[in-house]
Amino acid sequence: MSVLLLKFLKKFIKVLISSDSPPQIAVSFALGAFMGLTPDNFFLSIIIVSLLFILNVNVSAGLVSAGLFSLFSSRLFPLAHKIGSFLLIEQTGLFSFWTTLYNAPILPFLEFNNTVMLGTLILALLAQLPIYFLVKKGIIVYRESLHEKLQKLKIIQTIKASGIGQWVHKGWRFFQ
Amino acid sequence: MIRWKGLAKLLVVLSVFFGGYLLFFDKILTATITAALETAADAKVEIKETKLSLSPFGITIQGLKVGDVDAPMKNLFETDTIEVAIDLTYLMEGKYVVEIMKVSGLEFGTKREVSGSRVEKKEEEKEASSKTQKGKSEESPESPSVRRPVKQAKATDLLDKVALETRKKKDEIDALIEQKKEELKTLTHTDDYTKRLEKAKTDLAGSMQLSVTSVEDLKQVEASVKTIQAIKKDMSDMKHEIVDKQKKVREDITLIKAEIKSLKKRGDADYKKAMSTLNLDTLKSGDVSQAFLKGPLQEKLLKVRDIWRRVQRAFPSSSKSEDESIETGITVSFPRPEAPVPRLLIQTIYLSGGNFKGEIRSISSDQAITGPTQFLFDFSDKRTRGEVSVLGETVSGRLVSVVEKDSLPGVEDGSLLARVLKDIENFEVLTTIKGTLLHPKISMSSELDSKLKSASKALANEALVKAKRALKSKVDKQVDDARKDTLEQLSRLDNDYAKGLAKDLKDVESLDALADKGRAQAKALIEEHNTKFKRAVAKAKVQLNKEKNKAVEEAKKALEDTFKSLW
Repeated sequence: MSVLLLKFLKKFIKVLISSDSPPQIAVSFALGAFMGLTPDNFFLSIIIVSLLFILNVNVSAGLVSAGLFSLFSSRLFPLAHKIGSFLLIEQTGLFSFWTTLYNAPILPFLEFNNTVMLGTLILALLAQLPIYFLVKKGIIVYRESLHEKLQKLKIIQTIKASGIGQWVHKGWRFFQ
Repeated sequence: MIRWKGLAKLLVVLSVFFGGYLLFFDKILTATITAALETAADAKVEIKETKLSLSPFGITIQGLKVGDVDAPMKNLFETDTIEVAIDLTYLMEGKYVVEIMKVSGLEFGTKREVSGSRVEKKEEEKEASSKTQKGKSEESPESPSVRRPVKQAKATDLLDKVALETRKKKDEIDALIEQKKEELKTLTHTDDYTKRLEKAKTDLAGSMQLSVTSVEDLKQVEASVKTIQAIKKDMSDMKHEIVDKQKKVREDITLIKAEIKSLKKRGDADYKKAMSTLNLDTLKSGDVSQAFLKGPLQEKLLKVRDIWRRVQRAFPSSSKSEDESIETGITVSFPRPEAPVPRLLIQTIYLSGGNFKGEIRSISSDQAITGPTQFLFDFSDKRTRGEVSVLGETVSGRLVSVVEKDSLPGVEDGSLLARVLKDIENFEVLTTIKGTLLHPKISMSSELDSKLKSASKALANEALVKAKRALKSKVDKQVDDARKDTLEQLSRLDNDYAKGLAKDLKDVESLDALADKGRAQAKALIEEHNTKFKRAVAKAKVQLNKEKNKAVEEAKKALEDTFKSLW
């Protein structure tokens, strides 16, 4: 998994300097974040992967993002549980709304009637725009100034020249 | 914005994925169903083929055989085809809603070619335990097999199975004889007697060789007399000892004889006990159906019920537990406009087998949601007809079956029931099922019962008389055998010890008589020599007097001559 993640990171760095526009990369990153933040749900995963493939966005960025966010998504479960409990259980006024959604076609597959699932869905939805704008801005900044500066760094050049990067990669694989 | 190439790729990937899944789905499904049913039935399950149909969505299972955990060489049931139509929309929610299930060619208790036991070891253990139980049942006087009516009809066999008082007593007497033997061995000391008798004989022989030539010899004769008297005293002691021992042996033999006499009483007790277990009330009352058919039916019903309970446990009413956990969250159920659906729901099952057609409606993992299950069996064939319905836990039904007399378990040639049934080919049995699924109450009666009532009463009485005779003769024979055997042992005991002691006594008495003879001889000898001595002394006295007188005369004459010469 970690090796896969490193490969995706390598690809992602390539993506940063690729011909894809910053909004394309930002959209895929936000979609990946949505998938990574929510607990395993087959239906949701199918939708997002399909969107990544269908939309003209960077698939690698989306998968990297999903992997990164899934690493710490469980840390958000207590907060998500509180949010979900507040909306599903405590807010009795919303009961009819949830009942309507529950009886709608397809939507029950999202398992939103679970407190953790609903909480993470809301958190992931709220995080979409900030992630989009942050990633978009970050790519622009990286491409305009950071990329060249980084390439000029002696350490990067040394690593490239000595092949330490490959050695670190092998060592990492060995300990895995 | 849409990437058409990407969409095409996605579709290709999804097609390959679903294509592969469908290709192997049948095998996966077969393995899954087999494993699930094996867990439920705790026996081997075989499926010939499983097919998936997409429209209408469902599966078809062909050649299903479910082994019987209690009878490894039989199937609990087998079916030709099971067609299951599953509601796809509920399946996407993880719920198994079967709209229609058609089961055809359903048969119970068919034979298997290979063992249906899941684990051979389990089977061996079961066999071992059943053998042990069988053994126990044969030994135990209270074993249920003994109480079965057909077994009861075999009166003489019963005697072999019941722990007999006669046998017990015989064993006790054998033990007593052995004990007495050991006691008498320590009492008799035959070797000691032989030695004592030999010594006495030798001493006596020595004392009997008497000849008196001098006064010294007379003293020796007197010593012999004393020896003989000592021998006589020893013989007298031995006599008393032997008489005491004879008395003891007689007492023991009398005791054993009394015990042997009590064998008869024990035989009577055996007879009474055997007669009390020879209860032909069930046959007398004519409840043949109840006695012979209830057990197997009840066992079969309980097995099917257990399997269904295991299936229900495998499909709990909720897919996720409502455990309040931060990791898993709380799953809230919202009302649906339509009735809620449990995780497993089979709306209608149509069953058809060799001798019946049936319908089961609304069977689910959560009967509280779906309401009571209804079983409707139409046994409209020649053999069985009637209806059984299960509403929730309550079961009720009424079946009329035609039972062939050959299918009755335990009807052995020559048995009472076989005789009763000799003119009847088959008869109808009415089965009434009541109570709950957990505790079904089954009662059975048949037209044969009433027909048999009077006939079986007479036959039962006849059988009872015969059984009494057989029992009596068997008990008497056993008592006679035991008595004969114990008397033989007693006779040997008598030979070994009582007669041995009598011989010892005879030996002692003959030796005593010999000693008397020796003593008389010695006394006569002494008397004779005493007389001789007395006569010799008298003669000597006379001679001495003569000599004295002569000497006196001679002395007188010499003195006179002297005086004359002097004078």
